[in-house]
Amino acid sequence: MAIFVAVSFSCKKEPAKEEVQNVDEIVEAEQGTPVKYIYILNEGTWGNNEASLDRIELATGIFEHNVFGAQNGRDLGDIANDIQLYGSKMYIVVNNSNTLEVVEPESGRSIQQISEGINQPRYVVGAGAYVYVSSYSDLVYKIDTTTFSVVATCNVGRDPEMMAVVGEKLYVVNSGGLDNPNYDTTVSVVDLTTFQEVEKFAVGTNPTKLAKIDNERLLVICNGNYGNIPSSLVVLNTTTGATEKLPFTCTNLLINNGYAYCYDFDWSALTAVFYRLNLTTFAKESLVLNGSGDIACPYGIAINKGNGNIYVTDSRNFLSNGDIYCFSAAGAFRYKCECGVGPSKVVMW
Amino acid sequence: MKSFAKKMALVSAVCVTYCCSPLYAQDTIQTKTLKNVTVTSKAVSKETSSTTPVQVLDRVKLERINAVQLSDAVKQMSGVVLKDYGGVGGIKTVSARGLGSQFSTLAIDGIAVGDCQNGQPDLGRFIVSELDNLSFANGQPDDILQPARVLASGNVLNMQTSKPVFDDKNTNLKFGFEAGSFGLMHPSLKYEQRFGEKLHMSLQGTYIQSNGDYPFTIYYTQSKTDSSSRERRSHSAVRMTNIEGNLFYNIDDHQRMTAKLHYYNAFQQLPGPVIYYSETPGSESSHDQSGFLQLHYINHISPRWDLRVDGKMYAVQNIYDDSAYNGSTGVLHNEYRQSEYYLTSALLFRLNDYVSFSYSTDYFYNTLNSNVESCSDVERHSWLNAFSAKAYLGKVNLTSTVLYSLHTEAVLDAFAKEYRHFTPYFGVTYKPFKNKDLRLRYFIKQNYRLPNFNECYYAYMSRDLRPEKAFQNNLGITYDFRPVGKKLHSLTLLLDGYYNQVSDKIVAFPSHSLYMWSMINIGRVSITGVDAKVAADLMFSRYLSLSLDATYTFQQAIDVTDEKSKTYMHQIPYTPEHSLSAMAFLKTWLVDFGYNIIYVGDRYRLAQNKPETLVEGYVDQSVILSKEIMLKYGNLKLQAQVLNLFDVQYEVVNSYPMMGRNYKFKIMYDFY
Repeated sequence: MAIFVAVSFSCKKEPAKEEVQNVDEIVEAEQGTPVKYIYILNEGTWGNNEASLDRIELATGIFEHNVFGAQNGRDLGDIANDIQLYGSKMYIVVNNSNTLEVVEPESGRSIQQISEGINQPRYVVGAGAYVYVSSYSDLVYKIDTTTFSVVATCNVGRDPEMMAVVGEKLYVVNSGGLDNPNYDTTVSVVDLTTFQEVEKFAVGTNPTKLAKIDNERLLVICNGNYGNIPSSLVVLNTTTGATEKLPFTCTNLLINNGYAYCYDFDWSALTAVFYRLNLTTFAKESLVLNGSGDIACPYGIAINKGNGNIYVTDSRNFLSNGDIYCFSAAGAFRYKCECGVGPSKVVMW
Repeated sequence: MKSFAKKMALVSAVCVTYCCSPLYAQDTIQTKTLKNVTVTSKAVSKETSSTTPVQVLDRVKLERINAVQLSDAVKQMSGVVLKDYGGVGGIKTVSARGLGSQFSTLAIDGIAVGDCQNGQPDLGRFIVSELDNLSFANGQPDDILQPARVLASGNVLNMQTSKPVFDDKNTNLKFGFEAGSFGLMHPSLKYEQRFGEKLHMSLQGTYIQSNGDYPFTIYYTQSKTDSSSRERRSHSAVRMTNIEGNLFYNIDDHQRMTAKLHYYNAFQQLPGPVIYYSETPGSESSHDQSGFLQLHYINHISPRWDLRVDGKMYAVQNIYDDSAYNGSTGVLHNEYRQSEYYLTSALLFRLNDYVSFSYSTDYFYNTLNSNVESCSDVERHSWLNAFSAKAYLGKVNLTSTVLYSLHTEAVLDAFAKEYRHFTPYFGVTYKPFKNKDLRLRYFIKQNYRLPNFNECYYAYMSRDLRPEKAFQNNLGITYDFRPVGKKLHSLTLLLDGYYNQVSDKIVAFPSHSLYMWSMINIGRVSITGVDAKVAADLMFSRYLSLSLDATYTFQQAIDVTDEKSKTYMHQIPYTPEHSLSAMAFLKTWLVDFGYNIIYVGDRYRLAQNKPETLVEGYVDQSVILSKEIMLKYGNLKLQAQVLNLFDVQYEVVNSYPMMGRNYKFKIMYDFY
C-alpha cells in the first residue's frame, strides 16, 4: 500500500508525444507567396476558455500553437468566432467572452482588448475608419479603429451573423438561431453613411453566411431548420432584392477569382463533397482534393492568393484537436498540421 | 460510549477463560488463573465477506466527516470519480470504475431513485446525515432478495434509512443548527415517536441555505503561469428543503411494513462556468421540486420462504430560467416534469442450509414532458425479471443472477422503440482458512444502460441510439483481523483489481453548430484499475481511541474506439489515474478530533490528452473538532470544522472553481 502511494506521488504520466514537425514539407509547399504567416483561429468549446490562435511561419515552416497566449500572457477566452485582417491590424471576435481583440499581425500581441459596450459579438468586417461587429443582441456595433470604442449601434434582424460590405452598404444575415425553430429569413441592408437599416431582403430560412460575388450580387448560405426545411444556397441581387436558389447545397464557401470554393457536409452520412462554382455561369465543377477523405468534419476553407494553395480545416467533431490540411491549386495533398479545438477560420498576412 | 456500543451489531459474545500454564515442567513460574474476559465482536463486515466489492460508511463514520449532502460522503470512497461543479448548489454526479455516471444506480432502502431525463439525479439533493448507513457496491449487492432493478445495475449506491431506537421513552427529539462561511445556514430537526410496540414513526427536516459567494483565483492561461486575478463567485445562492416522514409497522413476528414520504424543494442560482473577461452577470436559475411515496412490505413466511413487495410513486419537476436570454423572447423558461410508478416483488426460497434461490420481478413506468417546443413527451415501460441463486459450500460461496429485461418507449409523435436484454452475473468468494478471515473473491457481470431521454430525444437526430454495454470483471482479496485483548481492535484490508469494458458508448458532438449537439454510439473504453482500502480501529483505553481509514484508487480508462483517432489509448475525460482519500478520528476524554484528506491526481478535460487540456490534481484537507456534553435534559454536541484547510485553489470540472478554505460550526441537542 505504501509503495502504491509513493509511486502515485512520484509518477506524472506524460501524454504521448504527437506528430513530428513537418517543416520541410511546409516550406516546400509554400513557395511563391508574399504571405508571411498563416493564422488559424480555433473556436474552442463552450465554457472551457480554450479559444486559441495558431500560426504557421511560411519561411521556416514552423507551426506555433497558441501564439496569442504566448505573446500576451493571457489566452483569448471563450469561443473565438471570427478573425479578419483590416488595415494594418487583425481583429478577433471572442463571442462568449464579449470581447474584440485588436492584434498586431506581425507579433500576435494584442494592442487593445475592447469589451466596453459589447455583448455576444459574432463577426467583424471593416469599412472606412471603422470596423463593424454583429451581435446576438440583434444589432451591429460601429467601432472606431483609432479610439477603440463603440461609437454607434444599429438594430437589424434577429441574431445577425456574417456581414459583407459593398460600396456604402453593409449586408448582414439575420439567422434568428436563438429562437429555434422560429428562424429569421432575412438579410438586412445598413447604409454606412447614416448607419441605419434601410432595407430587408428575404432569402431563406436561417441564413448564416454570405459573400460578395460582385457589386450587385451576394451568395447566401441558409441552413434551413434542420428538419423539414432543407438548407439552401441563394444568389441575392442587392439592387432588385430578387433571389435565385441554386440547385445545390453548401455548408461553407470562399470566393476567390471568379469562383466560389465550396464544401457540402452531409450530417447523416458524415461525409463531405468539395466543389467549386463558376460565378459567371454557376456551373458546378468538382474539386478533387487528394486526401480530403481523411477529414472528419470540414470546418473552414481558405486560399493562399499568392500560390493558389487551398486550405481546409477539420474540426474532428470537437472530440479532439483539429487539423489544417493544405492542398495545391491542382488538388494535390501538401501537408497537414494539428491545430487547437475547432479550427474555423484562416487568414494570411 | 453507550451509543457507540449500541450501534455495533452484536452477533457473538465470546467468553474466554485465559489460563496461563507453564511450558516446561521444571519451570518455577507460578501458574495464575486470570478472570473471565468477555470479548464482544461485531459480525464480519459486509465489506470483507461480500462477493462484490462494497464500501460501507455507517452512521458513525458519516457523522465523523460531517457528511450532510450525499456528495460529501461519496468523495471518501475508492474507485469513484465525483464530478462537482462547486459550492453547495453545484450539480454533483458520480461515476465508478470508468463506466460513466449512467451505470450507477442510486437507491433508498434498495429502491432505485431514477432520473430518466439525465440518467442520474444530482447527488447534492440527498441528505445523508441521519442515515443508518451508506453503501456502495460494484457489480451488485450480495443479497439476492432484492428488486431486479438493483440487480441490473453496474454499481449501486444505497442509502439505508435508520430505524428509530427508543431506550425507555416513547419520543426522541433532536435539533441541529449549522452555520458556516459564505452564508451557510443549516437547521435540522429529527423527531421519532413510538406508538406502542408495533408502530414507530420518524420525521426529519433539513434546510440548507448558502450564498456561495466565495473568492477564487482565475488564471488566464492554461499553464497557470501568467496573468491571474482574484474574483468572487456570484449568482450562486441556493436554498434547499428536505422533508422526510417514515412509518415502521411490525405487523407480527414475521411481517413488517414501512412507508416513506419524501419531499424536496430547491431553488438555485446557476453561476455557470467562469468565462475569461466576460462581465455578463449570471442570469440562469433552476427550481426543483420532487416528492415520492415508497412502501415496503416483507414477510418471512416460513423458514424456507421470504417475500418482499415494494411500491413507489415519484414525481419531479425542474424549471430552468434564464432572465437575460438573447433570443427575441428575452427570457427562457423551460419546464420538465418526470413521473415514475414502480412496483417490485421478490421471493426467496431456501432449499436447504446451503442453497437458496430467488425470483425478482419489477415493473416501472416513466414519463417525461416539457413545455419546450422541440422536446416531445416521452413514456417508457420497463419490465425486469431476475432469477438468482446463492450457494454456501463451506469455503466457497457462489452467487449468480440472470436478468431478462424488456423496455418499450414511445414518443408523442408515434415513434416507438423497444429494448430487450439478457444479462448475467456470477460471483464467488473463497475462504481458504477456517480461522482466518481471509477471502478471495471474483465476479463477472454484463449489463447495459439505456440512453436517457436527453440523449435520445432532446438531442438532434439521435433517436436510434442504442444502449451502452458494460462488461465487468473483478478479482480481489479481503482480510479482516480482530485480535483479542490488544490495542488494535480491528484491521480490515481490501484489495481489488478490475478490468472493465464499455462498448457502444454514447458520445456527444456538435452537428451544424456549437449550439446543436447530436449523440452517437461510437465509443469503446477499456478500463483497468485497482481499488485498495485499509481500515483500522485502535482502542488505547476506554476514553482514547483512534480510527483510521484510507483508500487508494488506480484507474487507467482508455479510449480504444478507433486506432487512427487522436484519442486512441488516451485517458477518458475527467478520470484521474491516481486518487486517494483518508480519514483519521481520535476520540479523547476531552474532545474528538477528525482529519480528512482527499487527493485527486491529474486529469484531462478532453478526450485528447495534451498539456493544454490538463486539469491539475489537488489535495483537499479538512479538520473537525467536536465535543459532547451531557446536560440536564439532553446531550449537547458542539462541532467546528475547517474545510480545504490550506486554501487550495482547485477545480473538479474545468472553469468551475471550488471553494477555498471555509468554516462550519454546528450545535446539536438530543433530548433524553
